[in-house]
Amino acid sequence: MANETDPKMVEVHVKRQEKPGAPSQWEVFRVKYRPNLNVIAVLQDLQIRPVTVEGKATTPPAWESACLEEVCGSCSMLINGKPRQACTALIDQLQQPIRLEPFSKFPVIRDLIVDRSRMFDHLKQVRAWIPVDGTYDLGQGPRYSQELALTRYKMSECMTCGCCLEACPQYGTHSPFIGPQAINQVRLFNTHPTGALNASERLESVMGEGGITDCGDAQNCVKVCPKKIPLTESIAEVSRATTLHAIKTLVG
Amino acid sequence: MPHETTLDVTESSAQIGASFWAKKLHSLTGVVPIGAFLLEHFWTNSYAVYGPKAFDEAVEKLRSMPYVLFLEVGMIGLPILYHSIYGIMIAVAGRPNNLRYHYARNWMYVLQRVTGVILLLYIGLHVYETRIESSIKGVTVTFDYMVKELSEPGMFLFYLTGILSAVFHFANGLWSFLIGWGITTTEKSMKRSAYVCTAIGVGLGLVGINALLGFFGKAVVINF
Repeated sequence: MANETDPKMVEVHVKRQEKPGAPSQWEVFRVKYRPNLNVIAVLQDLQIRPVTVEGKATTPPAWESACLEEVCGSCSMLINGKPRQACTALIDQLQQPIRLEPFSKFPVIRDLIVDRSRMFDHLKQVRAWIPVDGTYDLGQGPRYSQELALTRYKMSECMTCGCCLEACPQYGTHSPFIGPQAINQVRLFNTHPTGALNASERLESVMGEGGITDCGDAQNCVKVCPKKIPLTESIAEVSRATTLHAIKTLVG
Repeated sequence: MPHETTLDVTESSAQIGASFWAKKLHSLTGVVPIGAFLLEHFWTNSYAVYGPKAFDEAVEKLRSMPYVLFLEVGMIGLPILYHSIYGIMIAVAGRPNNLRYHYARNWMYVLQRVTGVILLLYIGLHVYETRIESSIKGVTVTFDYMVKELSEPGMFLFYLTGILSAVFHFANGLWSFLIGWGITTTEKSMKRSAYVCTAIGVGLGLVGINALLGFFGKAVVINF
């Protein structure tokens, strides 16, 4: 699949924003087509020659990337309107012109780079870790079944990319909702035998303002998750756990 | 927690926010008593398929129930009021994105909110016409009263919209309730409950429409 005007060119529209809070505008570029191009490679070509289709020299579009194998989440952006990673977005599989935009639910730093620190605050809020640090060796942790290991492995694949939050109609700067990614972490750490020692704490971290009950069941999260993490199952499992926890505090 | 508790360095603070309880109550009231009342309401209205006498008798039976005013206010009025006010707060807190994400569930999400707002208007007018206005005027709501009401221009369509909105809102809300209370937790069980809720919705929709047609003598009477 290539451009109508010139089959040897790839047309890419990039939403540009110079700095936080600045107005944004679209710029159109064309780069030479090569087989197996991905969006990152196209952005690298623009870095080499940042000239728009009108022949106007501009600054190279800024973006973030690290692993280039869809495990770090840093190159996440809206590609043709859908949240995904630029590294695994292959030009041959994309409809042209290709539109690149920064995520809309996070503050833009520059061009395609957004400040995703809100997500890391969510992880801190739910205590997405197992506190085992101390002054002496605690020995081996408890063993658990292969079945649980497999279930947890899927949940652990979350790379905090933010696709689920981008697609969630309940999540954004307008709302305190913590979103699917952090709720999935509550389940991930509460299903670990050692992590379960702090289960109540993690549950209660999502039982306040903007917690689990703010989920609206639109279920876009699970559709856009690049890692196919069963986010809706995690939300429902945490719903079950928080409901039982609430009933317990009510009657016990 | 089956393991030694020495590692439990931080204790449970038993901090459950008011918003948690508020949303749980919203979800619960939607099923009981509001959902239960919806079923009863459709049941009673279905007497309309037999004509004026049967309907008037059914209404009279309800009207003569002991503590009927308390039941009306406590079991119907207040729960609906709470469910609506909290529902509006939920609706305005969302930012629908259906034009970007065309998934079926995403449409259900927005439809749940749209039907909620429709129902607020519909129930408001419906209660005014059939309960408040009639009480002020000292008129008894009968089959003929309803026929007159429904014969006014646009009223049939208004009632049809109200019935279908209520049915969708209830059936889809039930599906959502099952997730919110942790009853269905796997994708499979959510799919299964979606089939069940669809069946409930379709069945209830047919019953509702049939009752409405009853006031025009056009209902389908199935009896053996």
